[in-house]
Order: sequence, then structure tokens, then C-alpha cells
Amino acid sequence: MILGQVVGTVWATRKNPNLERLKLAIVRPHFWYNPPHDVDHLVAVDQVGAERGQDVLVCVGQPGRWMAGTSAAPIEASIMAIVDRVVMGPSTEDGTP
Amino acid sequence: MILGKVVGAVWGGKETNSLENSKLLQVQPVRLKAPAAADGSSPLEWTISANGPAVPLGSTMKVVMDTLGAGVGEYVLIAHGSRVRDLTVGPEYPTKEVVIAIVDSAWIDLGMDGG
Repeated sequence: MILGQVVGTVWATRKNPNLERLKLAIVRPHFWYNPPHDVDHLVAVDQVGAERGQDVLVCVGQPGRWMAGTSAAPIEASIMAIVDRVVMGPSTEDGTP
Repeated sequence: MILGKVVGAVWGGKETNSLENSKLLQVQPVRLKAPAAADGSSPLEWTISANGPAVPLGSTMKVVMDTLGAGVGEYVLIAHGSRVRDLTVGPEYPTKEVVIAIVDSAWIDLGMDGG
């Protein structure tokens, strides 16, 4: 899974029928990750209602499709959670970084 | 999945049997922010639409199988992987990149993270 920020939305009417009613969000990963593409964005199915500007957790690969509710949808990335807070490195006693 | 722009079609005069009856497109992936323009000189907001302005594209090119009928100049959503292929064009086709949607419009705003 990767951390990223929702930066946009995609609308499409001509699409694979199994993509019906799925919301598509454009996500910019916060950190380096290893996609099979030389790009700086990815499009993920949004099931949690993330809004633009929010940080999200994106699951890439097959589990992302399982989580989309329909295993027949040809997708490989979906938003699993909206991130409230991330702590990196050793935390202090009261939990703040 | 990623966004890309169809820049051309590919035809094979002689091709492997499993590629017959398939349509191949040359697609250039969208690159939201070129590394050289990270100083804020590039726009942070784009709208992809039928007659909208050009969205920055990456320097790479990929050949993608299409069953939806995308045309040159259109933006498409590309999914990657053998499972995606099985669910769209079928397991008999030797490809890992498939067009799963033709983009009507998209809105991108990179200005929210403070540049």
C-alpha cells in the first residue's frame, strides 16, 4: 500500500461495464514507489469518499480489486482509508513525533 | 491505473496469431508535474476535456490494447497486469496493458499541498 494525496477526479462514460458506479480519483503518491509505469500519478477506485486534498492509503495490485466489491472490475488500485495522521520515526511518550 | 493520451495506432503486418483481431494504440502517459518545473513555474491545475488545453505528458510511450474504440487525441485510463487483461480482452491475448475507460473529463489540482 502507498500513501498519497487525492488531487483530482476522472469521469468516463465509455468504459468497461464492470467499472459502472465506481468513483475514480487521481492520487499523487507522497513517496517514491515502484509502479510499472514512469508516471507521477495513479488513478484509484474510491470507496471511502475521499475528497480532493485529503491524504489516503491506496492499495495497489490484486487486493485493490477484491476490495472494490466486485472481483470482475478490471482495476488494480483502490483507496482503502483516509489518513488522519502519520507518525514517522521514533515517537515520544505522548505519541507525538 | 494511469491516465494517458492516445497519440497513434499500431498495426502489425505480420503478427502472432493471438494478436490478430486486436487493436493496439500508442499511448503517452500523463505526467502531472515535470521535475524541471517543480519551482512552481508550471500550472498546478488542469482540466481534461474534449476541447481543453493540453495536459503535460511524460517522455515514455506505451503500446496498449483497446476494445473500447479510443481515437487519437483522446485521453484514456489504462490498467496494468495479467488479471486485468483476463477480465477485459481475455486471457488469450499477449498484453499487460489495457484501455479500461475513455476519459470524458478530469480535474486535477496540485495546489493543495503548498506547491
